[in-house]
Amino acid sequence: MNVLKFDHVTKRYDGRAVVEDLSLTIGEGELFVLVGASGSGKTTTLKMINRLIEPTDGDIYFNDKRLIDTDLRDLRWNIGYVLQQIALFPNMTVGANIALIPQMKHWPKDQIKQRVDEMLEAVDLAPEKYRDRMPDELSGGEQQRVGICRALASKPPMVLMDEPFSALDPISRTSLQDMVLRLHRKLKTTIVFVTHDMNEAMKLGDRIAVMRSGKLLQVATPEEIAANPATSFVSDFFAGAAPALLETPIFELASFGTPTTEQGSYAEDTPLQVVLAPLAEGKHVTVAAQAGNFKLNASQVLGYLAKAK
Amino acid sequence: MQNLWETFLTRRSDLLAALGEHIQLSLIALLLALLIAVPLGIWAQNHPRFAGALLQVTGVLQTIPSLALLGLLIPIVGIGTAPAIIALVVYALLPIFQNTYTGLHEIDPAYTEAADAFGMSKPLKLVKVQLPLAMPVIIGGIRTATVLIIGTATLAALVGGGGLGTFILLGINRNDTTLTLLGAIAAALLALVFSWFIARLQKWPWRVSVGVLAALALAFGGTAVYQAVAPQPETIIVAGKLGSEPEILINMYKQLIEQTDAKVKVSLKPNFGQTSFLFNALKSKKIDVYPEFTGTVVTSLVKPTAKQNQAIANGADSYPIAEKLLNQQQLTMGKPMKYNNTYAVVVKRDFAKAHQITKLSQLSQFATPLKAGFDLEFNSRQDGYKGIQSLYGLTFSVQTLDASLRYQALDGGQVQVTDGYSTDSQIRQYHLLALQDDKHLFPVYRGAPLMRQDFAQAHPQVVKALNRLANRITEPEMQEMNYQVNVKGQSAAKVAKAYLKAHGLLKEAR
Ligand SMILES: Nc1ncnc2c1ncn2[C@@H]1O[C@H](COP(=O)(O)OP(=O)(O)O)[C@@H](O)[C@H]1O
Ligand SMILES: [Mg+2]
Repeated sequence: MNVLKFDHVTKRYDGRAVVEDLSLTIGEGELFVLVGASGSGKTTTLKMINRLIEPTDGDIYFNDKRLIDTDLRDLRWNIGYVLQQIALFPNMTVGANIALIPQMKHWPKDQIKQRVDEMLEAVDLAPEKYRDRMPDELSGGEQQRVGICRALASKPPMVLMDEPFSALDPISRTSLQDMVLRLHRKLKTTIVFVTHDMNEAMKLGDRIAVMRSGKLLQVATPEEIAANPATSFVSDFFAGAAPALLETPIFELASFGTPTTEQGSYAEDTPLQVVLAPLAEGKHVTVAAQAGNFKLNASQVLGYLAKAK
Repeated sequence: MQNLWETFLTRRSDLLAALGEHIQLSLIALLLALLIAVPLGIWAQNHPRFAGALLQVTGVLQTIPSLALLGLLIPIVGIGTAPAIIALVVYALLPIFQNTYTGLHEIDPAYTEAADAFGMSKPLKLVKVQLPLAMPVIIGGIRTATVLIIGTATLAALVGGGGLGTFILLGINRNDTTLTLLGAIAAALLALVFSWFIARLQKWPWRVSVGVLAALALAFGGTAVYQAVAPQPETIIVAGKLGSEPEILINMYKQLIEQTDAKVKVSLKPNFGQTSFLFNALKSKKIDVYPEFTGTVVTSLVKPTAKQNQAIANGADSYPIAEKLLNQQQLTMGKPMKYNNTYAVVVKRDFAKAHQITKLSQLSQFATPLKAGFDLEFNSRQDGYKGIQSLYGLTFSVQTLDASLRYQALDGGQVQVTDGYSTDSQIRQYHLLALQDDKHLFPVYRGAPLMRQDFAQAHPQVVKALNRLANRITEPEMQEMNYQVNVKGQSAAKVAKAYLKAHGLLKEAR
């Protein structure tokens, strides 16, 4: 069943389309990732879902009902929101931030209290330790955990996350990504997740939509993308891969490649980075290795990168 | 320093009263400014064009000099606390509005976006998110406004609004720096305390701050309403100009009036302002009586005919002329007192004795011109040094001096003659003599209670009480009383009572 449907949606600013003729559907319980470079229109797309931005053309349907026909407050209470800036209200305690929407929905007091603790536990923050702290006493990673609690507290059927981890250090980012996967498996909430990081997209997405300059290039599962990558995706992906990863000596990818008797055109200690250009053009490369020469194509390198994270 | 402390001790009840008035004035102005400027600042968020215009308007309002603003307000709202409060509110608008507007405007948009995305209603977003986040900036504006208000409120004394400014004005008027200093220090301390208190306010939870503000508003609003509504015994308002002499006189008025009718209460407004101000206050019924000089009436308050002016110049009594002209404006003067508070040429008592001088004309006996220290105005006035030259044929070797320095120069022997007013306390203090104006150069300034005719008709017993001072109080007696207040630091009420008792004008206490 489709929870969300974009039907030929366009958003223009001063005549310039920043999202152009976008059509896609997102199914119930999906973790759907919108990926693309900065300025490609991801945030605009996301904010049209909770009507922080109204489309210029086209319609968006939530549970088969046009957004403009839904009561705005009900819509927003049904769609959680996690920001890159986190934006926990600094004048409220952690507990008060999480309790915000349940309070607006007039949940009973003890139920709210119970829910706050439940949520904190779900994101590995001890309730008695964190409940009454102020946001500025928390690290960035802890703050965003609370940000996720706040978005999920009233059990919304859908949550929007706009580059929620891009301001965090790599270690917190990885653990928060794992946490999102875990929460998603447990809660079955539909999640629309925006990122510019291809690794993150490959790791998290049930399906991935690749955007470039306001247009949708490809919507596919990570497996499909790895098996049959569009060239633009590959170059975007390589551009987004972690620098350290790209220093990997090429022989480490041997198990991902296909053995060959052809002569190797690259030495086995060549850094991965060097072979990306021909791969992005759709060619394959041959590697001369002591353990036996092998061939590599883009999908195989993607497979490696997706595993290596 | 010693002096300051002593002045503080003798004056502390007056100071406390002035402080109370000052606080009340400032708080009312601050609350009104808050009630106007904060909602405006909130409203302007969604109306950026109005915000710009409002900033301009409040900015322009603030550039109006405070004195000019008070002057402009008097014809519209009269005198007293009303123009003072309005002026203070006008000044406080800009900092509060500006900080409310920018404080709200500069909130990180991520917070307001989050609030919107969570489906918060506008009022809830304002109360839960925007105001708390903008609070430090808003509080900053309120602190600026408070310091501004408390400082500017010292000018309220000029329009009869009371407050610590009365001390400052009095000090300037009496050339008594300790009084000025006392008023200024009290005002500065008050500003510091308030500023600190408001800074504390933002450390408290939101609800407590609102509660405290509401309690203050209730307390002051409540007293104001109570004062307006509560039945009050008939109160006669007696005001006086700046200085010790009017203050002594109005205290005599009060004691004389209150002994004739126990039901009547007299409210005193000492150091209420300058002549024209009191005159207008009397006409607009803000006050009922104030002591005025006949000479001032005919020179400044009414327009005598050329004939009348000539008669006055020839030494005619100005009282009947003043009374006649005042009647045309529905005003009346009680009977004048004895002393003539006019210009006087003053010499040392020793010097007068040595040369057997009591009259101004006797100064012609000196062959070499005497050294004189005159203030600028006296030196250039026709009824000053110019008249002395033409009418008395006297010439001095003149040095112009600031009014405040003349007596010291005379006392120190730098000059032998100086000008002054015939009831100045320094005449008594430095053992001086005011020479008799035997050729009647100086206009006659005799003091008498000035009131409206309707008031006089409605209160014949008050007029009778005031007229008990008719032809009383000589110049040396007035000098002595001014000396007691200005130099000895006695209260005007006490000095007034002592005089009335000594002259049998006061019945013994019941
Ligand atoms: N309010 C706006 N007015 C004009 N242009 C905008 C506005 N918001 C976004 N844009 C432009 O739209 C494009 C897409 O922006 P955005 O959706 O934020 O991209 P992304 O989130 O993928 O980085 C950018 O070129 C941006 O400059
Ligand atoms: Mg973005």
